Amino acid sequence: MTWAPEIEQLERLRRLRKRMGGAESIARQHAQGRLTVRERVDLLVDPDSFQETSTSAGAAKWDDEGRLESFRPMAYVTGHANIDGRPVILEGGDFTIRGGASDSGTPYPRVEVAWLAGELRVPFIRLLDGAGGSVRNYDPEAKRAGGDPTMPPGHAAADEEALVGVRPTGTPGSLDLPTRHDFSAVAPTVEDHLATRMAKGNLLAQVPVVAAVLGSVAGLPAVHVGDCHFSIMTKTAETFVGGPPMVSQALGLTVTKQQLGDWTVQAKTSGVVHNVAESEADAFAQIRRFLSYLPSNVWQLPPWAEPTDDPNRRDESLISAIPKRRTAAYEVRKIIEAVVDRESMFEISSLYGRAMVTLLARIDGFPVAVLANDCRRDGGAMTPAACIKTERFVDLADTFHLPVVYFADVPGFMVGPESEAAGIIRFANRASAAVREASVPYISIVTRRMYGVASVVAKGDGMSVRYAWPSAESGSLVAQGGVMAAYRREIEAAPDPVARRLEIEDRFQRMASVLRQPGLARPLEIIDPRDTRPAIVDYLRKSHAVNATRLGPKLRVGMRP
Amino acid sequence: MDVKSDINAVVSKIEVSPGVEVAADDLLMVLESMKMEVPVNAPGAGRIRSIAVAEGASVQEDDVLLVLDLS
Repeated sequence: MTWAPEIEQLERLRRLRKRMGGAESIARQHAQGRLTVRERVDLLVDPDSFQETSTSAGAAKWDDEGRLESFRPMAYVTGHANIDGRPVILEGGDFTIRGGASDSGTPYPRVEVAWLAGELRVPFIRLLDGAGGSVRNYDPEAKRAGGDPTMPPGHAAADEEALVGVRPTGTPGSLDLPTRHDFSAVAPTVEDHLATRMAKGNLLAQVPVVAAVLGSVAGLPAVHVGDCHFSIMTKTAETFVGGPPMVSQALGLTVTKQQLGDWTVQAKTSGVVHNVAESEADAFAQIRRFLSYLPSNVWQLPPWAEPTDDPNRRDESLISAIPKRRTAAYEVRKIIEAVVDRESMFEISSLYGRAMVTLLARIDGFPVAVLANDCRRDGGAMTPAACIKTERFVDLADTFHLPVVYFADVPGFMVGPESEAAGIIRFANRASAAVREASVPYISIVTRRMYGVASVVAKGDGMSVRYAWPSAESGSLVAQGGVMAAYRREIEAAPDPVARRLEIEDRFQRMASVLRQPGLARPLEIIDPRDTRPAIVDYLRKSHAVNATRLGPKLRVGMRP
Repeated sequence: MDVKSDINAVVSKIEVSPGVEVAADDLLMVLESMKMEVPVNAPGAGRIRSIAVAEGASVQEDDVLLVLDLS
């Protein structure tokens, strides 16, 4: 007696699974300019590192003799792989199988790998392409008949010829052992910490989670787009909780998929998706780049890389980076570029909440999260979108122990009917709360304006330090707005009200300089802008040892405002 | 090449005219948005072919400001 026939059956299922939705479906996918899930995995991960799981999963139908009649592979591919030598777990939707719809056979392996990513403490990546559930799964007629209403005819045995010689990767014993974890930075006592137990089952509190929107993504997969640390989409992809037929049914509106959720909606207007990719290959390159700044999990420190840039480099451009004229705007990215390690910037969410620039970079080899007000956008004011973006980014930095470097030039929270209607008061509170809760090293450089309550983004407590450039100024209100409000009667009573107003404004303006008074900026030191990089490096090195003792999930108590 | 506005703003000052040679980073225009003067600099060296806006005009993000023939 032997189990060889069963193994043969198993191998057959595996070969069929590799065929995905069949040649015709694959051609359709390619015709749309989209790759198949297996091509995507190959492009994303280190060569030959993919170790597939659930290699025979799908809906199989057997005849009375126990022979396979038909088989529809699971519309998801799951498995382990390495990215830049570090282990990850991923799942990818297979649009070539019933449009990537989940059915009774599919959810469990996906839930399992997500769970496993938490258990093994490695990043989890979702390559999304497909819809959520289908009502056809619940067709009572078909259930009574004992059949699967969605099952297509089985693949003819002849189709398998194409698969001869394909190595069933991922089956145990067929692979090289995966790269071993680097646990060198793990603090030994953290394991027992309350937060570790509380983070159980909460993937976002434990490991980097990434979502890529690569096709039409709706339903539960669309929810995953928002349930991650970093999301990216191509310009030919869309995502929405409900597609055009549902919108038409519910609201009587005729809309296209693009109008509902292409990159202009999701990456510019809503901000749900962080980054936009020019191609799928670009999306995968950006995912690898994003992960390169993060530890594999919250129990490790972010990956330090041997710096190639001089820690004491003093960039001459910084002495004249801020225009003398207060109303002249400048490009804040040039300032950041002059300070961080060369070629180390990776901007996140550049099209949304643009008054605040958020990017990952390295300084002295340490991954850092950089925040910077962009005075070219909305005058640099914290709009509701800029607040939401700041809150999310500071949470990301705090979760993965990335020090924050903030270049402050903020006139305040955004005023006006649009901002109020969008709920600026709440989002201002939430951004402030995220900054307050952060326990990572936090370095603020006040480059110019620091006004009002918005100045809380330049953290003033915890492991924080503030420097100011000589161009820094601060107050509870920008003089131009505040003087008229506070001195209305005096101004109106003056023989020349305009002259009187300008006179008072000028007085406040001169008083606002950090050289006259520390004001809200309260810097530890006023520094030569060219000394900014050495100053940041110094604090990063001084605070690193303490940061390294705070590993593990961040415990958050209570609720955000 | 088209030099476009990357913000919604009002054109406050135009510093060049058609036929003028510019170097990379030269100031082409100043836009005003939220009381801030936002400079528009030459993306590369070249000659101005045409100006698409007038001082005082409102421009939206992605509107063409001027056409520059890169040298």
